[in-house]
Amino acid sequence: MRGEAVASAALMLLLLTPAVWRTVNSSPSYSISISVTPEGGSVGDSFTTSVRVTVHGLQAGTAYVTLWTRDPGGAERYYRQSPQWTYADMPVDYRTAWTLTSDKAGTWTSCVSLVFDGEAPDGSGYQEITRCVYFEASDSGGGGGGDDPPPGKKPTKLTIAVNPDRVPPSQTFSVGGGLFDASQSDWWNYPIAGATITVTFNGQTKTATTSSSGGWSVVFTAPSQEGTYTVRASFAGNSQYDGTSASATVRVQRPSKKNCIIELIYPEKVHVGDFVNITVVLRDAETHQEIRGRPVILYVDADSHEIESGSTFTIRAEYPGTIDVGARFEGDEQYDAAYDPGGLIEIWTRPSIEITHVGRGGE
Amino acid sequence: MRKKHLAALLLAMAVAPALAQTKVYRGDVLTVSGVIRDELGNPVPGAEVQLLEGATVLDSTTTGSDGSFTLSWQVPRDHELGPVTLTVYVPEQPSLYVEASSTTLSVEVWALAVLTASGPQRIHRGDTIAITGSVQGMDSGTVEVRRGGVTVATGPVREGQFNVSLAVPSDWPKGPLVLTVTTQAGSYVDVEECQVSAELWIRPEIVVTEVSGG
Repeated sequence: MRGEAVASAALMLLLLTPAVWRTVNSSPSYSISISVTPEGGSVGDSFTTSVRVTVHGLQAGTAYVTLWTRDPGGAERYYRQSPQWTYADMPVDYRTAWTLTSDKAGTWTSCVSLVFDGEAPDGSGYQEITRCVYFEASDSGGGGGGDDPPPGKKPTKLTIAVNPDRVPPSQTFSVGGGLFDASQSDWWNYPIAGATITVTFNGQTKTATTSSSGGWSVVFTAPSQEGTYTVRASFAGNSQYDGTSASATVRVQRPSKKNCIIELIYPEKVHVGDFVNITVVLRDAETHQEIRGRPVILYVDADSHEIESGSTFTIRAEYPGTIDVGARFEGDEQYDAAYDPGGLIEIWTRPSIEITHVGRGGE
Repeated sequence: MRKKHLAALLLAMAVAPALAQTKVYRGDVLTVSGVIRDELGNPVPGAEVQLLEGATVLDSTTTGSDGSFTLSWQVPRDHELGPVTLTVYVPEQPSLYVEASSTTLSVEVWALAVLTASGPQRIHRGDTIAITGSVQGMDSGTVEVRRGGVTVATGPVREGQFNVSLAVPSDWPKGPLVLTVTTQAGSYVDVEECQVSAELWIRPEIVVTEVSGG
């Protein structure tokens, strides 16, 4: 999966400019900016932390951002995590801001932490880069500022579903879900309409706009290669709402085939010199209808013979003992493989006794 | 296949009469050799083969790598005389995938009477001499004494012993003479006769024809 992903990313980049192409073999790069306004005030004042993070050239692994604010007592008063980004999301320009009201005197700390997991700018597999800003809340309260602070961005909830979640290769399937205001209620979904949802699947990216009920959907075509793929939807956020993302998996697999039964018809006991007929019959497991003319492999001791189902293979019983027979059908587009372990054909002899000499003593 | 069967049949017919003539004496060791083959004529090695008289197993062996076997049987000294049918039997041997098979052969059991006798070395015309001896292999019967193919005396065998009286005829020439002691050959009895050598002497009779005085 990962090699494939890198290969298709490389192919996409190959079609782009040479300047971008050069980034293929380099480590990811990033920029982080964080600011707080104002940088100080009285207890009860609001302050807003703004963050912008860009990530370029991530080819493997994931990157994401965590954001938090701690009050002067060290308690966490805000926490949020960005979607996880992969090569498919490159380049990322992630912006967010949040506003808190200082209800304690002291230093309030807001931080952003960019985490690379799998491939990091420093060449390692994991790196965490943290930047922080501070808001000083003084106690010298003049009792002013009665206005409610402007609200910060609201958290959002994104749902995603794939239909059907098992898709034959090269067939289309739809991905849909809803975007909701998560600040409203835990038990009722308040839709966010008109938001842009970016959906990525196997190197393809599509966008959808949420409806009045918050719903969105896009259609993808499954690849020809069987496997389990991830579909990722993300909402980048806007002036009102925080960004969020969600993912689901889709299994690309050929439609299931019909079962069949393979039967070996052979005598259990024969005599030396007999011609032994072994017939391989293939049947539909459900209808028991015979399926003729399919290639089946007949095992006779250490030898294997390819014959057609329904046909008879003849061997000569040459020595007393046993012949081990079995049969296999490798399966085709219509039927699954089938195997009959078969069994043993016993070859007996009714021996002749030839008297060559009858005599006395040592004659 | 049919030709093969025919050939086998002809072979069996050719061999069977020859085998039927087999004659064994009591006390002899009879040997039977052969080959066990499957339907394609390949030897069957490692198979058990038995020699039976009726239901009695006389001997058993295992075939060699070439399917060959040799069975032997020492004919008991008291075995009934006459023709005997023996069976060569291959019992069923599941581990070898060999089914039971059998064939028969005929042998004749004979007795061999071996005589030993003795008599006086020197005999005379007119003597009544005794020829005594024993017969090995025969308890009872009749013993004959012959000279030159002519029976000159007979006597019974009792418990293998005999004692025959013979009056020496007056017309026998003098000199060495050979008496043959034999026995009446019954059915399935062979005789190994013996000879007794003697010398006929003349005990001259002196007849004085004249006595005269001088």
